Amino acid sequence: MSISRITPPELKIPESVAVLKAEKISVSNGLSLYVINSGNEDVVKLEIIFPAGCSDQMSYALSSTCHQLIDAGTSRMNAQTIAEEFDYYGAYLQTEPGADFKSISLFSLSRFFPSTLTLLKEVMDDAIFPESEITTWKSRNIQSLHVNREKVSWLAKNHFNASVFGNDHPYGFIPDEKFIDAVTQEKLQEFHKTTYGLENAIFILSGKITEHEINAVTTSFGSIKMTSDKQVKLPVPAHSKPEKLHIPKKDSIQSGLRIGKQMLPKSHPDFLKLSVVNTFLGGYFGSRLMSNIREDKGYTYGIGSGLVPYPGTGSFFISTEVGNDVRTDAIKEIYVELYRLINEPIPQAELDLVKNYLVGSFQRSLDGPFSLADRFKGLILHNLDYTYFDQYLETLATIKPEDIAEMAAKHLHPDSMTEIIAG
Amino acid sequence: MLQYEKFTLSNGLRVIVNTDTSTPLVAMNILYEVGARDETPDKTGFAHLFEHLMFGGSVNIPNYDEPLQMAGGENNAFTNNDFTNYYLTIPVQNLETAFWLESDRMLSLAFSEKSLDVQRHVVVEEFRQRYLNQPYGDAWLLLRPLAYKTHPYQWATIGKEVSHIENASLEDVKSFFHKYYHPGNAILTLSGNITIETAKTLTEKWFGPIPAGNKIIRNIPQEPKQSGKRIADETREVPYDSLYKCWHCGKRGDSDFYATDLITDVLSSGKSSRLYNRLVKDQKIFTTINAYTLGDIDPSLIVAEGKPAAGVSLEQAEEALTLEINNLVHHAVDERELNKVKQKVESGLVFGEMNHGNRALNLAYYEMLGDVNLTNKQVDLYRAVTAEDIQKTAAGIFTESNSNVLFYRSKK
Repeated sequence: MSISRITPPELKIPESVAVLKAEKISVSNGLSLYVINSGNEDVVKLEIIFPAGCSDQMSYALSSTCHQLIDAGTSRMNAQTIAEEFDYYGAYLQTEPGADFKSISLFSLSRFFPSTLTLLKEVMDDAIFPESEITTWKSRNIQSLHVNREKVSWLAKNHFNASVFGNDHPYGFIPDEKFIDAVTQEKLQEFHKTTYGLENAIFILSGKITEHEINAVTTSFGSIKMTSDKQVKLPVPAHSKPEKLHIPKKDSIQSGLRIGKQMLPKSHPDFLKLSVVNTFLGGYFGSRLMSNIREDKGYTYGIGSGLVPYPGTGSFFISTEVGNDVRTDAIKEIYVELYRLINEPIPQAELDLVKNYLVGSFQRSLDGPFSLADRFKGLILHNLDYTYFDQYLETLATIKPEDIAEMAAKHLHPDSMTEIIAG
Repeated sequence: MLQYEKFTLSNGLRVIVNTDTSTPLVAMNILYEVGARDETPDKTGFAHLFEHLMFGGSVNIPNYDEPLQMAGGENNAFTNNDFTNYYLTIPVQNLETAFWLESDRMLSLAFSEKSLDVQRHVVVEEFRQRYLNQPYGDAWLLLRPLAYKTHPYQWATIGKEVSHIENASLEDVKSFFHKYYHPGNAILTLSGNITIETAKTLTEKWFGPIPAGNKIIRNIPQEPKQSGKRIADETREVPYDSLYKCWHCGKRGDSDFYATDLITDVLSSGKSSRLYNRLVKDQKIFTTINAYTLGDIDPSLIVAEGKPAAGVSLEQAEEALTLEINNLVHHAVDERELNKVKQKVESGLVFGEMNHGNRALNLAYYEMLGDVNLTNKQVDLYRAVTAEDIQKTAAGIFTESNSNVLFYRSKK
């Protein structure tokens, strides 16, 4: 068979993407339970999300410590026993503390789910935060804080957030001794009492889900009286002036760079277009930043850009680590790329490539039950629904070079950027 | 149980297919049996540098990434001491693009001077970012040559030193390609929405015409049995002391690998493990401690690394660690503890199989080890390990004369 290796095989881009949607299950006490039944393996993930906003950095620090130590002991079991019980079933817990939400996920083999779920409930309801665990946690965290301060990427990232969101806002949190020292058993117990109410919690059950798994959840959580937390609203972060900051780190041979600004929330009409613009700039391996600064100049091992959405706001950042000798040139090239997006229309071939790439990425992000659950969570926590996915595909199908230049000019002008150099 | 089919092309390319029609995607994995252990001491880091060059254009296609992205695909690669692995996922409609791209770079590279020049810089920055400009980043660059005196595992995949990468020539690149990058030294696996018939048609069409290469005869110098404890003492600008201790153990293909792996699970898998509870929480000797085995193709290492608590010296920390580890030699683990680590392994394997990329990698990896069906035997092989196996294996590994210690001291 003779084949042409020069001509690429013909491409077909799917016009629609099938999305398996979460199904809301009605529970007698009003619990918010969503189910995604997909996949071949007999596994279950249950994620419970608590909207537990923090009014300032100290309350964020305490709330997230409380969450990290949620499985550190109950009146019946110490931390080791709890860990042993979960391990014995081959199950594991994942906790994600956040300034707006905190979530706890249980991953379990289906056959053990009733047992592991009972265990999870006991751990969540009866957390006592033993002194000895707090002491161990403190010494470990002080140590990792000191190690992190030696990393230019860590310094750049944290000082960037502080600059963009303000020194007192939870989004601008920089880990520090003062937050670790402030942790006491009493404060953790207080946060435990006031931030795990079920009334506003969201349960997402994914994996191979049958009525057995749903029954396990409703048996544990479906008949208890709902409790409600005082809803703390995060303060609106101030829009800081763009600044250029140098965080010195002696003896480093590379510098960590972070350039960006406060940005739109996911629900803003420009957000989807902007996410496409971000892809051109630094959102995939073939992006302009990678092509120029890594693949053409060899200044760095990697460079990228991203959008971090929060419920009412967000951030945009460009991030890299570069040799000190090429730092100035690398920064110059970053701004060259921002100006190019504003001033030169995107060539059709590049536009087609990014559109196709993003449709493929979208499909990948929906592959498997846990991915589907994550995408659903990304909707519900931002007060969006599945029509957002249709809008996204619509944006990909219709976005034009002039839209991209317009978005870049409106939101990504170099003069609006904060620039942090650590090194 | 992972269902798969295997066939081999006449040029020696082994192909393994796992069909799952519930996904709109296909994962493709190509494993080349070449890693840092195939390098010579004066040209280290080459297998890894070469991995970068595989993205610098092939004989008929000037750029690898663009057409793949155009087809909605995504890819990456990694190199370790034993093998180099390239993987991608792509929407099933455009599957043929993946065959076109991967077969062309197996056929031949473009060997561009510009690509080599740029990737030398990129890899030097990677060397700096990951090993030199990170606290404790060079620990493995110190530990490997301490533990291995003869075997090429004495250098890391990034290489011994930056100059080896800077000095790589296009001639080196070409001869490396011709020696290792050919169908007989590769394993192609597919997982996702592809039938065995389609897989056969497409591999025959795109990979079939690639000439077979010469069989590789490896003559890797093997490490003699260590006959005395070795200690290295280094001081760096880091905030805390850190302890690294390793022992030689068997290779991945040995029957005692499963006992060896479970030993490290008993020691340090999760918050119920021994080292964490006894040395971090009860005795407060360490603030963090971790143990693992590398599972290399040639005789490998068990490693324990940790940071002593305030006021505890590295020497005291090592003593406490050794004492705790020797418990495994002197006392059999109880049934419940053994069952716990086995259950955890089984669960990890089940969760791992949910991802098509992982499935494709596993199939290729076990085929490289000599039997693709090992992928479905893992749970049973772990289940078969007894408390006596653990004790016997531990006794064979954990002797002081078989150990290597790195005291990584803080200048402060």
